[in-house]
Amino acid sequence: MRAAWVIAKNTFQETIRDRVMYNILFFAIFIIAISLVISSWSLNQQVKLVKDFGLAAMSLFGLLIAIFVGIRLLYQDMERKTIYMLVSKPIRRWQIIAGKYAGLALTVLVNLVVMTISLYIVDFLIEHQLDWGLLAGILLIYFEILLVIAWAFLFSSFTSPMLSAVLTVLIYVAGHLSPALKLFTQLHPENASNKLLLLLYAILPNLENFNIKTAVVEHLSLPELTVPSALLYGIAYTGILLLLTSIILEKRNFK
Amino acid sequence: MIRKFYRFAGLLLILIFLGGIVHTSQHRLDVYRTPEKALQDMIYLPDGHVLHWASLGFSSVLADYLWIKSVLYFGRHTVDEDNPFYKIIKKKYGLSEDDGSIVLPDSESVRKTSPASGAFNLSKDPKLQTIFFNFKSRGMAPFIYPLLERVVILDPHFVEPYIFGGLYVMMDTGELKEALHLLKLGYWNNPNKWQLPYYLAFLNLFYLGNSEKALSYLKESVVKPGAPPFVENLSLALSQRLNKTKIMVDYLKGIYYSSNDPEIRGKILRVLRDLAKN
Repeated sequence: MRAAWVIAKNTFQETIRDRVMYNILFFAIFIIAISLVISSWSLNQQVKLVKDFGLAAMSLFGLLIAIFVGIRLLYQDMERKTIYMLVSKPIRRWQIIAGKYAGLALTVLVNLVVMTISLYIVDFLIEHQLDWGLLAGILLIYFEILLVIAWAFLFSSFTSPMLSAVLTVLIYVAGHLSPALKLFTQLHPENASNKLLLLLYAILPNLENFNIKTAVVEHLSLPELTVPSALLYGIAYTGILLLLTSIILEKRNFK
Repeated sequence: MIRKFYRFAGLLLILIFLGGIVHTSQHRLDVYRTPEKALQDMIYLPDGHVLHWASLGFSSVLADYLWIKSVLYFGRHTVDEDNPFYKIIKKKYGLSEDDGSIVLPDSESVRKTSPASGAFNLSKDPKLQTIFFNFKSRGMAPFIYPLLERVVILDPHFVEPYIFGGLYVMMDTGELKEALHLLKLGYWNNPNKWQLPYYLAFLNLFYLGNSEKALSYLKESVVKPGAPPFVENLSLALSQRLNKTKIMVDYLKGIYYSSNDPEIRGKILRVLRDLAKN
């Protein structure tokens, strides 16, 4: 475990210095700040708009960090052959994956914390109080990003960065549309392809599980155990993807 | 030296030529960018449910964007001196200098939805008719309700669009059927909000003349969480058929104090002033 921690620390230091990430972070904070201006056109709905824009910016820019930084992380090591140094040491391949994943997860966390502080500052300027309910939404955004990073890791373990980016974006889109598959089978129970659709639904991630943005902004009561269930789903699904990535990396010949 | 001069002259000619093209093409394009054209800005949007799926988890932000667009669209297409397109609107619809020409409730939608008049029918009160049925912007903002419907499909718990469409837009355009539909949709989506049955009661009382239905909505509003005491007072006054003008003024005051929207408050204040004058 110590080896994985060392890799995580190193990955964190490497990614936190990434210029791409700074650009994304700067832009996210800019969007949160600009929502203050946009919301003034909203006929007295500033508070709602600022929160909506803030959470959307966190989700979107977190996703961009996951794609741009996540897919390069593994591929760069293989391309620059720096991974050879790691595999030649008494470190298991899964430890490399776990370390790199934890490092990037920490980087995203730091980013989200910065964005959260920015959102709370803007919110406080309008509302003159802090809406702590938003934190549940932000926590699930974080877990959604972590799941997307796990997909990006899986793709980058066997394909090029460009293709990994395309596939990760596709998974993100499919993940948000996958509840429609289930809905379709419920609305048309007689459909012949329902089993196939349900199988697809089971395989694809359901990223809508992490989407409670509207509920936290509008202070709606969520069904019991929504947040813990979503967290558990995210952890288990991410675990499966990281395991698959480790297996693929294990099979790869770096000699 | 001569070669240098020719080179300079050649470059200058090319620059002048390119500058001329830029200027001419810009001028040609500006012909299409008149304020009148800006008003004709067509709004084409897919169905709200399609938008909901296509938003990929960002439905609230999309709803906010469409909400801003709705407010701007309505602001541009209504007879209001604050509207920067006011002069164009007046010219387009051939309105006279005093644009507040009274339009009495002769539209089909109002007639069809009006139930038989009872003894306590506020919608038939001539004084009220001149104030409440003064639809200055009738037919001028045809896309406002489709836009608002998309906003609330994307974010069903966003209460302001229901009130904006159900009250503010209706009072200017007279599209009662759409307003009722929007408020009923809002009430169905947000059964705990006292404002929605309160505004439904308002439409039933002042526009449809259905005091029984209005009373039933008011009674529903009273028991909702956070309903202010004036709702109960109104409900009692209406059930006892007290003074019409008092009920009306109390109702409007209730809307005025319960709304934090400066536009709605301004409108209600104008109506209250008109009532005081009459």
